Amino acid sequence: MGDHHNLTGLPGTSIPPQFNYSQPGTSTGGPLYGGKPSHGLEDIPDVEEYERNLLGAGAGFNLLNVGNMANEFKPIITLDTKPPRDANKSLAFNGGLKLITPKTEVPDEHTPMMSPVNTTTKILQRSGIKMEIPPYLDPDSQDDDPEDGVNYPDPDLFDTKNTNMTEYDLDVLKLGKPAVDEARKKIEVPDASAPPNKIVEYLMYYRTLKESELIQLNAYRTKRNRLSLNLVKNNIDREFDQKACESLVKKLKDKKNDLQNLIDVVLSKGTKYTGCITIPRTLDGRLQVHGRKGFPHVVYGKLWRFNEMTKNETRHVDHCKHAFEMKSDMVCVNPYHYEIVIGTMIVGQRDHDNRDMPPPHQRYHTPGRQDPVDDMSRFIPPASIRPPPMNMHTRPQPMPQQLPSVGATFAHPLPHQAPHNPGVSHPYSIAPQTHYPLNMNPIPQMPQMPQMPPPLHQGYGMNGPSCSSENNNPFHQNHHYNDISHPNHYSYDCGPNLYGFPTPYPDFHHPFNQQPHQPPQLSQNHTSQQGSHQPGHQGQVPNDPPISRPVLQPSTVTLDVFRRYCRQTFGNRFFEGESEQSGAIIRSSNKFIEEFDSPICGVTVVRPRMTDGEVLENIMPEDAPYHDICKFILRLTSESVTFSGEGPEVSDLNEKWGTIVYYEKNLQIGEKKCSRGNFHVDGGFICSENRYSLGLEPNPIREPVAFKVRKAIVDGIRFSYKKDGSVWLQNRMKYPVFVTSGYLDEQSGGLKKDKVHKVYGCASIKTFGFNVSKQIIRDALLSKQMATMYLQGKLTPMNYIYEKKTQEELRREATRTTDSLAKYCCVRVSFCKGFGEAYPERPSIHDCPVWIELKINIAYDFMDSICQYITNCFEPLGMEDFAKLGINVSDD
Amino acid sequence: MSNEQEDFGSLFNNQGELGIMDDFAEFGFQTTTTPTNWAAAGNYMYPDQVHLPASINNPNMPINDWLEDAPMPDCYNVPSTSTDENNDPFPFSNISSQSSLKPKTPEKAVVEVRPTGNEMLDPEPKYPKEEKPWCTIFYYELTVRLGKAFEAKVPTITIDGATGASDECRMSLTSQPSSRNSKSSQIRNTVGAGIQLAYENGELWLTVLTDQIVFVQCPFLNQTLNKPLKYVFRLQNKGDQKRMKIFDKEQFEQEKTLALGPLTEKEVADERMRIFSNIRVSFCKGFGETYSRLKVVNLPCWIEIILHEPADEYDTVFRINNERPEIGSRS
Repeated sequence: MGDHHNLTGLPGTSIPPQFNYSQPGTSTGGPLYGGKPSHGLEDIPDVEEYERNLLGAGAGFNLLNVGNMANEFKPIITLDTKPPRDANKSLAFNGGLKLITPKTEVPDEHTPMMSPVNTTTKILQRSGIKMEIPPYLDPDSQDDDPEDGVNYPDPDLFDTKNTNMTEYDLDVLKLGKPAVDEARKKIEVPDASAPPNKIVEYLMYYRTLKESELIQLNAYRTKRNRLSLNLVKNNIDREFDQKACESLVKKLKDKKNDLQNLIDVVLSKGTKYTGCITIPRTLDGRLQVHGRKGFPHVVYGKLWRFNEMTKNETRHVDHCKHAFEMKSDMVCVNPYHYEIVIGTMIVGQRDHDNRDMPPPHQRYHTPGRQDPVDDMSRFIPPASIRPPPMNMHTRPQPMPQQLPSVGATFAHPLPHQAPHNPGVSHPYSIAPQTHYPLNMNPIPQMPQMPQMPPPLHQGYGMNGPSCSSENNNPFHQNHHYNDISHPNHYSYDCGPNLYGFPTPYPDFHHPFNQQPHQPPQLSQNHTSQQGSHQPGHQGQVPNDPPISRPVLQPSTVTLDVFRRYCRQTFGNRFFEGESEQSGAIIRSSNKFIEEFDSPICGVTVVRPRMTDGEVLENIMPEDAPYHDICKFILRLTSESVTFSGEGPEVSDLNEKWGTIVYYEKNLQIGEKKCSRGNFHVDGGFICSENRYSLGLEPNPIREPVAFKVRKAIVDGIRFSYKKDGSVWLQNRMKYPVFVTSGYLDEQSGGLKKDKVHKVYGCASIKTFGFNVSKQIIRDALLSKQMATMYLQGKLTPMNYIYEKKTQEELRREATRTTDSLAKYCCVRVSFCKGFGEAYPERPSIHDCPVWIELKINIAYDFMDSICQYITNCFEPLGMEDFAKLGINVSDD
Repeated sequence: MSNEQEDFGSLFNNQGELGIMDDFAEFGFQTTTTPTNWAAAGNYMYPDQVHLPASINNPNMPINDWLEDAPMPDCYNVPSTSTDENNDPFPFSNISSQSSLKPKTPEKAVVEVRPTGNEMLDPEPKYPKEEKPWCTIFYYELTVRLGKAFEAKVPTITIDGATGASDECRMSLTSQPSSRNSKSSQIRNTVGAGIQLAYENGELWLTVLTDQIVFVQCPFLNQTLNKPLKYVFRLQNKGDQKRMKIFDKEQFEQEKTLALGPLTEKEVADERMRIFSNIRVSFCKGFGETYSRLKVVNLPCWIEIILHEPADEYDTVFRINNERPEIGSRS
């Protein structure tokens, strides 16, 4: 209980939050627009009805009471049209109408606003406890148990885009401030005369965690419900920061004063020293660090202050004498001398990630509230008194008086101005500038009310000694995490509506075709593309500075997000039996090295592999490599694996389930269909249905080496086709066989392709798993179709990612061939002779004297069914389309 | 290199010095003449000299002579690995990842899959007796095998030059796909009525039906007639050259007992027996020492017949002679 309170930021904190998180509601499932579905005019805001609702005359929109800071209950509008996919049956969703009366309060002004991660019903399964989490109380059951239908937050996750958190903060979150400070006390704060490596180490402790690291943390959090700083230690961003930090300390080491100032600035967050810290300007003004070039003030701003920052979105504070723009010989790299300018980069929207946009209704109605300021004011003071936008990052942090006076420049994107933009027709066309305040939807804050029963999930503070019981936990900022949606949730929850889908599962007539976007042209740069997506929009925000920002969107999504988009676009047909969240693969210990791969365009997957020298025995963590067969693994290291058991039952179907093709080097000698569940490939001379005796395959130009190998095969190998569609291989020879398959590549982790598995005599291995291969094939083909549609100028949920991709990348995705996926339908086995990198004389299996390829029918059939579906349900490519893709199908 | 030795080094140590290989072609290479090839084929140590004991039954006809029939690997243009992406028939390995992502530390290229030591090599389940063909016929033009193998299930079959489709008692050569070799095409158009194979009571009779000359190389027959193994019979549709018994199960049994006999003779008999189930038939063009075409792979149009009954018999011999002590002790 106490844990929970701490986690959710309950009372008694006196220390202001040191970092801030997402705007509440920006990335939650968020209330969705559209009144009653029967209206049929969801996109057109109906002010009258809205007002009727306020007067209690009718029920067109959801009313939601949320306690505000002043301990009052005020009705706040929420709009929810989309019944949750997995709607809780106990809730009556009356066209999204919900009325809620929380009997609670947010205790003090310092308590940051919290919001649940999403507002739709979710079924969570954590630690074996199944929770159904509906968003609101049912108005009909007000007299019932008020807890009925309360939405508990998902595990608290960081908003990966808006969280400015240092490694120190993370430790504090994890261990509690006293513990951390205790530990830190033992380390004396280095001064300028300390050894440089010590200074670097110290400074690095205060670096800002980057988005990729937060994603890692979130992913880990989702799975383990814990925080781990170790997770981010190997991050590539951290590596870069480390180098940048080293470089700076080196540059300053002769100027002890500057170095000391730097330490002071970093430690005090810019308060203790307010002057400039300068380094010499380079010729092109940029700094080369670790193979990357960047502007010095941006590099160091990102290091210690902002998790995201670009040159065009920053301006220097007035008192900075050597700001980058001043073009003096020295450049100031004091991170606290540069601010992020709202208007060019919107907090929470700076990448105008469409997923985060509030729906049009909400934008429209927000100012029509009885008290338009009430909830907003808790988040953003009126422009006149509001601190500069940088406070969005470092809010309650006491600021030095030299704060930049940029208030005027960002004053325009207030909620009150939203109604001036009623003509926005499609979420795609929304300029991010208008949303920034509106995203602070207070509704999700609900579940954090004190009266609410504690969420069932564990909180962050579990490990921390200080977080166990006291209410005055100083780290109340913990509850910020509740503002932060699970990156895998929000797009799912609001995705379809945001993309204009009438239903979550468009029935092949999805609106993509009706709302073509501007197909990207090679000559068009990203900025102009965005312009074309926002017809007539520029004028709606009068004070809008010209949009000239560099594109900052994440250029990839996770596989889960991608699959969700696929479900939206292509329906559920190919996803049957799969849970929505496959669960990101996260490294759970130092035993794994986490590799990031991008097998399909715009999607990043994590492939853990074993660290050299580490051993896993008997019990495999579920995120270990070979997760599909982890229960059969006895021992796993980076270079060997031991399986036991036979796996599932062998199929007793007497059907042809595969074909084995026999090769000697490049020459195809023969082939045979596999018909029995257990199928042998041996060196003998038996003609039988359940074996392929290679001795019976003559080759008049056989090479000497092949003779030897064939003679050695004798009992050969056995493929077992199991009832679940998987194929296991047992080596019955005394010599090894060398196996490669798409499935094993996937399972073994790491980035290396066509990895070779050397299977010793008597050993067995699963060489093909239908479910895994199915997913890979499906994802690849759907991604191909998605990219094709994008290139055809249609809307896809991936557009915002594709816009960041080069034409070449998209073209490659759109021209992906099924041949390139054949490896996921095949198993290749070389007898006795290894191949690949470890065998220089045989770089590929085509150099092996005796090898076979097993083609598995169900995998090809599945691939075929997807191809057919795509052919039948989507506009086929014309000759011109092919030409654009670089495929010449003309008859010349 | 170490891997290599591990893979294969023990093969030769354990199994003795095996010079004689698989079927016909495997008899073909003489290790003494191609030491460089041997070395190049794999970097492990080969026996310096492969001993080919002279045939016991036919001391005057050493096996070595017969070996010349089979092609040397360097005589032909073995398809080489193409580096041209467009010509690669195996797109499988060409799918390098789109990303140029580099692993954080070098990854192992080979993952070893080790046995636990407790594996049981369970015996194969018994399946209901299936109908097996008594022979399989492969059609070749020069070195290239073309078309699907023909499996003979009825006792009497013909192999002819008809253009119709093959059925269960007829294999028509002209309906096989053709290599783009005009000479082969011409020859196989002359095959006409072809030959007939009749397999009954363990005896295989070959009858020439075509007007063209047919050449038959049958190591088993040669062995029983005390001829060199590579001897080629010339048959034609005329007189007593028309029909010939080319296999007899009874005689084969005798060979089998030899192959399972005492160690000194075993290997030779084993190797010899391996090819006793194979028969090669050439249409029109002769081959061998007295012809310009020395080897069967010089022939424009020829077939290879594998008799399954002797092959099955040999299989048992083969497995007995290749027992696997390591695995056997565990299972």
